[in-house]
Amino acid sequence: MHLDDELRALRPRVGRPSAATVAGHRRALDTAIASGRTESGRGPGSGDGRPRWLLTVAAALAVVVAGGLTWWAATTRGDDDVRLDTGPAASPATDADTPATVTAPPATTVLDAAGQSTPTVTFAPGSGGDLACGPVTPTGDMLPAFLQLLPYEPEAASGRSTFDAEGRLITRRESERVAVEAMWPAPDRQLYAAEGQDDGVGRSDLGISYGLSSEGQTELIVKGSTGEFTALKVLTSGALDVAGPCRYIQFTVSEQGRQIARFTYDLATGDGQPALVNRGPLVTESRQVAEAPAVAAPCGGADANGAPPNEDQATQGPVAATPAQALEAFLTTPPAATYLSSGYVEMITPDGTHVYGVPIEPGDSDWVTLVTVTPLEGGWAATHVTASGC
Amino acid sequence: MDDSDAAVMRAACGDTPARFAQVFERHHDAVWAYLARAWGPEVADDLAGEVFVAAFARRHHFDPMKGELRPWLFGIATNLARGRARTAGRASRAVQRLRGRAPVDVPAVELVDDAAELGQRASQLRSAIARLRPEERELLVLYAWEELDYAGIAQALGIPIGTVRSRISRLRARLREMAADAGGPPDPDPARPRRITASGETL
Repeated sequence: MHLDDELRALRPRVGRPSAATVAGHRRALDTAIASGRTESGRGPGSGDGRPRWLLTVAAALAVVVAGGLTWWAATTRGDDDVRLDTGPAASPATDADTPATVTAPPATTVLDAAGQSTPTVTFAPGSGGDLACGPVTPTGDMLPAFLQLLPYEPEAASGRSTFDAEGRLITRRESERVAVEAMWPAPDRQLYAAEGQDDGVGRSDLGISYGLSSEGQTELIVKGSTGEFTALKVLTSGALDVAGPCRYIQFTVSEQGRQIARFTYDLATGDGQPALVNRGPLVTESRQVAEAPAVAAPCGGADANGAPPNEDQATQGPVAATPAQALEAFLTTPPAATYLSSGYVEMITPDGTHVYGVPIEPGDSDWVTLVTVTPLEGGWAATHVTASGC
Repeated sequence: MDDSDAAVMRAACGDTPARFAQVFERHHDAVWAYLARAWGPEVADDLAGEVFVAAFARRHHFDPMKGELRPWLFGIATNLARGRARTAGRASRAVQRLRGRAPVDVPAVELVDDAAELGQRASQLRSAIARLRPEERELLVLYAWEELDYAGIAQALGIPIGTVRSRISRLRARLREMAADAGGPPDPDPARPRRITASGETL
């Protein structure tokens, strides 16, 4: 019996809700309908008519703006780093992402210690940086909310914000055990992971969710294996034109100095929710092998047609200058765009063939996807793919 | 009259918001059952109503081009349940940390025993399921018990479809491993991953 069939046989029998429960739920909905409650601003009784996604975008960006403004305020006092409290600073989560230099962001308004602001703030990092991402109008209690980032160890949490040479803002909150780093705009996708860097994308069971809190504040919740904590909590409003690299914001979570997860959000989805996107390293490691694996682990489940959706077929991807670029070109070209888009191990065989595989687990000898890239006239191209398809 | 979910949602977003009541009538029990299987009947009783209040408030965000209504409702339910778990879990986890134990969040749902014919294997799987992390259990409920397709799961969990595939693959592997750790006969799944050499020889 297939594992999926076994699991289906264990489906809990939960019955149905009681009539009283259903009636109570229906009354709550009827009340909401009667009041015309809506978050979109387009229904009856709406507020300012601003779509929620604008709030979403503004909220995320306001956080980094707040960090930048805090830094700016501190630099006027002669500090190099913004320290929001006196806790110890942990080692950087990612050496590769450590800001190189600090440049001053011009800002028209500074938040005071209570997080109050005047209506207009412009975030436009300059001084050599070219990643200005437009204006934002934050309001409300932001800076004290940073202190809620690590509720388990708030007394030890510290924070600082810096800019790298390109004008990218890096805001970090860290305690002795956990560090969260927000980077906006997110760095470009990497083809190869930095040496020794543990990329957690797609490998951890961490999650991130986002929504309005009961107090009307906007929260980004990062949930870690050792607990959970609020990464961002701000109250803001405003419209932003998020385009180009500014559409991506990246969060990196580390525990005890080890990077355990990285999340990149697309702020420009336009549908009310930032979308989690995978911009992690395409290739995490490279190794020479005597023989590369040839077949991915078969999927134990069934697809819509009742057959395991295993794939094993010749293909012809776009020709590129390097094997990794050929892999990336293959993965981003339909119909192959549904294959895993990062976390590949590069295995180079004695004949020069490059086989890229994503293991079921790090270090596993079973593979979810295997793409063979071979040299062709004019470059490299994917020529074979095998995948579990599940 | 077009009576599809998409049409009802269009009407609810327009001049007849009361049409949203049809959404409740069609999907309430399914949302309640999903919450009950994933987090327990008490959570379902508490949150199923909130799901529809929240969905009504966010009805303009539903896009029928991006998926069906039920996975969208499951997504709202998932977020609400996670929020509740965060609040409820903080105190217990703090105590567990003080005792030096890893936090455990096992939903208060007992698996039925109508799969007795599976015998020891069923017992091993039940044990494995009980030890799943909450996010793994969400995935298990959606794909194995609610039987959403990959696109529906992606919509409900707000993750790319490729991530759904990889997480399900990992979940299966983890369940097999945990079930094996519980003792008993080896995994009977004939589709257990196997390795084949380049010459086609099965190892």
